Amino acid sequence: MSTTELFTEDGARRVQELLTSWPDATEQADARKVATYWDYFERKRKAFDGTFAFGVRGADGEVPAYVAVTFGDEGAASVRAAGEAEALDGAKLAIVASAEDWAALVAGYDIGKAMTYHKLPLRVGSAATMLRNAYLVHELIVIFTRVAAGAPVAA
Amino acid sequence: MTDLRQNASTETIDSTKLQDFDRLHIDDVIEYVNAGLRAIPGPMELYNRYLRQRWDVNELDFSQDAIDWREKMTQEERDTFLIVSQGFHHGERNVEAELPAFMMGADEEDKVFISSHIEDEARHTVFFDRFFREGVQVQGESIMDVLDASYEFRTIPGAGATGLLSYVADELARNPYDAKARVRYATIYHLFIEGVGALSAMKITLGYCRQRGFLPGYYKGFTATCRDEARHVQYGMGFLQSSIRKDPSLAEEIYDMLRIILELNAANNRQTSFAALGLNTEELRRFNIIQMVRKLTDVGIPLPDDLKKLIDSMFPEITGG
Repeated sequence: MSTTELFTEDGARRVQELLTSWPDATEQADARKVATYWDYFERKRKAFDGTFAFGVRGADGEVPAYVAVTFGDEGAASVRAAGEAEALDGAKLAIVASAEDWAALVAGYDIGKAMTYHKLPLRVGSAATMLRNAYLVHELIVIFTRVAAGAPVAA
Repeated sequence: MTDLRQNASTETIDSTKLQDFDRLHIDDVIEYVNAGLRAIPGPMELYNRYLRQRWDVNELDFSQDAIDWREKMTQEERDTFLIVSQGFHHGERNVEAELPAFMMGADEEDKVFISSHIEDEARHTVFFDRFFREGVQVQGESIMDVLDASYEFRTIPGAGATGLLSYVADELARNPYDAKARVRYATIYHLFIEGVGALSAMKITLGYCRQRGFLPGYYKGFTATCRDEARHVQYGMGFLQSSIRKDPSLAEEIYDMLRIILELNAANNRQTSFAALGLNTEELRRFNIIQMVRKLTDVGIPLPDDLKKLIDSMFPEITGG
């Protein structure tokens, strides 16, 4: 799946499927992510009530395409592709990156570095909200990159 | 490193030249950071101190460091040393890049001092670049090549406190005179990263160098860096102190940012062992807590019970800048 295809209904469906059983075995085997890290992820997933929108900038003048992840009901998420107005309406946090930067992340560029070097800037939301949910956002981006890289999910 | 004096006076540390930093004990320099908080100097006084204390990173010699690294240190010592020093390497770079946002809305005297602070951070970035190239023998054509190489030694996921500073800086740059945003920035950077985490990284690596007599170039340069950090921490605590005096409600911004940072800290509770460098993790954890409580006392705000509990359970965070 290309980076552009990620921000479609099919991409959104695959993100939702992967998120439902996250973390998968690959991520659980990552020695950098200790038990307290996953406790944080679970706690934030259940506590967050609202929408994270992730977007990809198109060519100059084009409106970005988005996938919006809405949490509620103890961590259950609904994920959908959306236009800008719909995605940003009521979003607590929105991150928009260029197609090149999304492609680099899919190819393995480190998400922490991308955040550090302003490649994943906020379109909507406060820095405090971002920091308060930093590792939840991190894991959502991992899921996006895995879907774009063709991670197998249930049909 | 044969003439280490303990209990060096403030005046001695104030006036030490780069070539004599191997004669200073790191614990004295850490105490020097805190001693200045009793009567916090103003920005122009700190700027004048910067002009007197500025050192030339190109005067350092890492040839003995390369020998020590290659021939005298064990693999376990090298691995642990890299975990700590890479955090500082990236911290220096990140702060160098993010401080301009804090400078934009500052008073003119403060801008003069912050400009010197940015230069300090750039020089520290070059210091770590030279250490990784010449001491550790990391290859790279550019500063970013070496940063990328040292990033490989990182052991926690995500951006960490100095990486996430990018979001706080972006927010401040959009509204540089926002008093709440300025206090949030100073809390995560001046108080936590610089005032707590950085001192831990210094204690771990410089304590090791001192005990073993290894890495003299690193010891001189990083001890000089620690003295520079004293100006930064003192400025930051002065800023927070005066902000709270003007508007006591801003204490809530400090509390809120600390809760966020400490929650992230707890999420990465991996109990890293620093035993290879001769430091007990529990000892370091207590050192961190003491540094945090001292900074909040200097700012002049009480600790709410929930924050006290979070601080009591915090673990050493490898950061700096």
